[in-house]
Amino acid sequence: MSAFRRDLMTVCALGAALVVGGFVGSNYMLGVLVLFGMTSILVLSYRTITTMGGWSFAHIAIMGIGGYSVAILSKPPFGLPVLVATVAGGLFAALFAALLSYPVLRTRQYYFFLSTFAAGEALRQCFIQFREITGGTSGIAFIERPEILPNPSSTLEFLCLVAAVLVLLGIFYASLDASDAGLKIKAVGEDEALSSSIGIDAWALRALAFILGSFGAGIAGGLFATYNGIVSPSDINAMLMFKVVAACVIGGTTRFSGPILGLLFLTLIEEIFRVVPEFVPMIWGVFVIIAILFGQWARGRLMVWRAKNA
Amino acid sequence: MQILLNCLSLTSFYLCFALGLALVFGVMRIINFAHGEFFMIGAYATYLCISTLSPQVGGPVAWAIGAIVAAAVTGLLGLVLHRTMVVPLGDKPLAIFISTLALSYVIQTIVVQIFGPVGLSIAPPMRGVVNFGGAILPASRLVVIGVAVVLAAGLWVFLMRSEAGRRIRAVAQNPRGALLQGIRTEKVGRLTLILGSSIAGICGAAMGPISQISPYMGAGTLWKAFIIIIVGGIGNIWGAVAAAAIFGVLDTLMSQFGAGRFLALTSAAVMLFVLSVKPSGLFGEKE
Amino acid sequence: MNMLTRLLIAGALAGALGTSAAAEDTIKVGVVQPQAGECAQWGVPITRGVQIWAEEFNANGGIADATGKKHKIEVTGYDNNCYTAGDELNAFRRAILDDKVSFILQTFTPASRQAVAEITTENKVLTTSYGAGYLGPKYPFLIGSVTGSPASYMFLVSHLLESRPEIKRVAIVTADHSFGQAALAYYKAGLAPYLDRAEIVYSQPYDPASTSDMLGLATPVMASNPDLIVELGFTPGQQALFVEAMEQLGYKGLYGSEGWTMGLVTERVPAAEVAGRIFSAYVVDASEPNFSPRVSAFYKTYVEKFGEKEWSALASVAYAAMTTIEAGIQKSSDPTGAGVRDALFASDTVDQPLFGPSRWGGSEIFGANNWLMTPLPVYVTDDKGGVKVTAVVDVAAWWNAHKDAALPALSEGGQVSAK
Repeated sequence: MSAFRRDLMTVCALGAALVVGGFVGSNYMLGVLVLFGMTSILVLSYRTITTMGGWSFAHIAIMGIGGYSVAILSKPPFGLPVLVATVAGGLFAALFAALLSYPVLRTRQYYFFLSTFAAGEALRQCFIQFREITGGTSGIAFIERPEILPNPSSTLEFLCLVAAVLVLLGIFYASLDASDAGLKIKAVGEDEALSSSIGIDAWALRALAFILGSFGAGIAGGLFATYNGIVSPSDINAMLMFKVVAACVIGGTTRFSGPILGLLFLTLIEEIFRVVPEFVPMIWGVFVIIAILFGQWARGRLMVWRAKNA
Repeated sequence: MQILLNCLSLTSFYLCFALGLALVFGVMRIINFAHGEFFMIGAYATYLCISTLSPQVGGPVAWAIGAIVAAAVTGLLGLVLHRTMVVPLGDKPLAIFISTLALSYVIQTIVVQIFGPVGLSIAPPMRGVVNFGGAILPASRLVVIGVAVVLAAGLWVFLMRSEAGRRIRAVAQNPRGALLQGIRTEKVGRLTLILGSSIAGICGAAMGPISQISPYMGAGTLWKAFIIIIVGGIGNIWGAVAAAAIFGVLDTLMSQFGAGRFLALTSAAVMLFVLSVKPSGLFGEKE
Repeated sequence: MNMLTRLLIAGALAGALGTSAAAEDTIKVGVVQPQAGECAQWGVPITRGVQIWAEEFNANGGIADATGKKHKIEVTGYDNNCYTAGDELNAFRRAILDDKVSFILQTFTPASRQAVAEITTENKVLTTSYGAGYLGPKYPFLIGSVTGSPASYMFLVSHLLESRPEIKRVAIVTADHSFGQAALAYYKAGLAPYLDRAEIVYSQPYDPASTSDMLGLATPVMASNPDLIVELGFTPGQQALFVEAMEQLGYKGLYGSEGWTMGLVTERVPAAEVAGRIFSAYVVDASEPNFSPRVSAFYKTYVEKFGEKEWSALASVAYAAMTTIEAGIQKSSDPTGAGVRDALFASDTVDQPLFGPSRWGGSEIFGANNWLMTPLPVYVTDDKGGVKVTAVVDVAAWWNAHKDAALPALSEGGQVSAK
């Protein structure tokens, strides 16, 4: 099976699983699935950014742009329908990423993730300080659910919407991945100097991955905002950012299934151990360390095995 | 005058914390997220020493013992970290970053279980205040300034004059070249991590008495330290000193003149600006 | 691929089957507070306070409702990261949809209260806090159990100005986060009626990250030359460092805040030097032995269980907030969220177990009278590092007399949600 079809299968299976889980699961389970679906959008869009070779730490702050767009645009004086505002939020996030790509794409490797870290923090501080627009530290509350749903307060219907958005974005990112541009982005990610020497415009391709990945973050931010009914700077926290990065590190980013499985792993830890919330960070930490070290060890073993059998 | 002294003491806080990180990040190009937790452990070790020993030997001696214990414990942790994570994950800086982040959660939870989530306070071993023409400088702050100066100067001498220091610099500048010269980079990495971690521990001992100690005290400080070493230029001790001074003065003046709430925004913006204009930092050499 | 699907479905089924039926006569209480991470230093003592409250009843077979039937109380803590609105909502979903709790104690932070307003009302889960923070006419199940934060800041500073006419210059030192901003607005509201004889000389919020350098923070405050400094946003340890820095700079005036951990202060500054100068107005500080024998018994239990170093007055604040719910349960023949709400709001006063008769109020600020205005004890330090009650403020009376002056200040600070 080609890589493209495998990725398509992954997102479709995930979308279907969310809906099926929603129909059979309890009321609480619905909420967990909605969060999982929205976070899946985050990790999939994040994966697209990583294909160009840079690990951004501004993803969650850029997600905040989507959230604030929905909060502001869906309320008077704009009064846009929530879904329209969500799409607009995605576009604003992409636009911001385009502006941001000028300073941050000048940096590579460690410097890239430190500069995106700084950019994300600066953006979060802007959400806090520009109170007239963003409501300061309290944020903006009482955001409506999408009117397009027959019963906006139904979590099940919202879950179906999330699953649909997830599948659509998944198809989009999978097509990008398989396209000519996607292959070039990966080439740039692997060896920028070599790619440039054969006439690939590395800068434009890296910017493209960053912008399109940020679009997904903006959409996810919009969904979070309308689901929670509130956006506030405290929601844009390092914990969520670490979760997204950890999901990608644990699962690997070669295929779509990696980050999703990584996220599933982290979500299961949180849900299983929620009866002892004070220990969750430690359990999270221990499992993440084990997963990373074990993954490294297993990869090493695999290489040895392949070399022996080659 | 008071403002000047405040600038000086804030600079020493920043420098003290950034030094160990500058060493580890500058030489090995890895981000040890648990560096802040080593700093915290140093402070707790000092707390234990002062609260148990100071009735017998007096505050300053107990503090000095605490600082030594702190350096030893964190140095050991640095060694363990090197063995268990840095070596196996050698070529994957992100995996190291995430696993040291995970380690920092583990350390925090353990400290919460032992000492409780409510912060503690170290009774200041050195009381009293020094007067400088109407302005004051508490003795415990003088200690921090002293520790920062000694650490910075000591580190500089060590890197410039000793054989081990030369090897460390060689690895920092060009790991592959150093390897070809017969330098065992893994050994150098181990030494660097032990040294950097011990500095974090000593710093925790120095800062403990003038700040609240809590299981989470390291995480907040780490971010500022990164900004300082980036702005100062990686692998450059004098760059770190200069950047610490820049932020020491800038932050003191901003608090003084009513812009205290914009501190985090300015720091992040300065870092972003420096990285995009001159990624090697204000005082760093081009890589 | 198949494995992924199977895993997800298996997870979904496990979740569906995992929900256990609630035992009939147990009363389930959720405490949504930070359980891990930096903010756990507040969340954990609050959760413990509620647990001890429940254990006191459970030791005697449970709490009796109006029919005399006894119910065991089961308390569960839920993590909200650090008063993060999104996590607050997730915690509520867990507590309400999965664990079927009937009562929840949460923070007063307006953003967190707004995030859960819909879900608590929809599921009729009585959600209270140690203060009001945010209430609304559309959300009858969102209540404030006691005067509490952030209103107590207003009553503390006004009490100090009223009882000490020599105060002329007031400095307000608050953090630039949502509690801090609320505190700044309420402090200004408390000062508003007295601005003809006293002035605000400092009110610049600070970045919470800048607390690592207390002397840098204290220097501009000292330069404004105040007689009274009111603070909010420091952790207990930072408060002690702040007092130390101010004393080193030669400050001789008064300090006020919602509470102080005096053990930390006296480690740095001799108790005799600050005796009579440090004021607090928590809901109730159980470490003070005379205000109420019941809360001082609670203090003893807490210290026995967790040690003196782990004490935080917030534990007694949470305990006091639960006693209002307790009064409702005892008056109700149907101790569910809806039944207890009806019992509590049967008349416009409640005989609060700790504070005595108290009136429902809050409509001028929140548009709903869902806030119980309990009398507020004000504490002052003595020369041994302890605290004693210096006055009990009749908050409802002060509010009725001065609300016209105070409301504009609250409104300017963004604290008024009433139309």
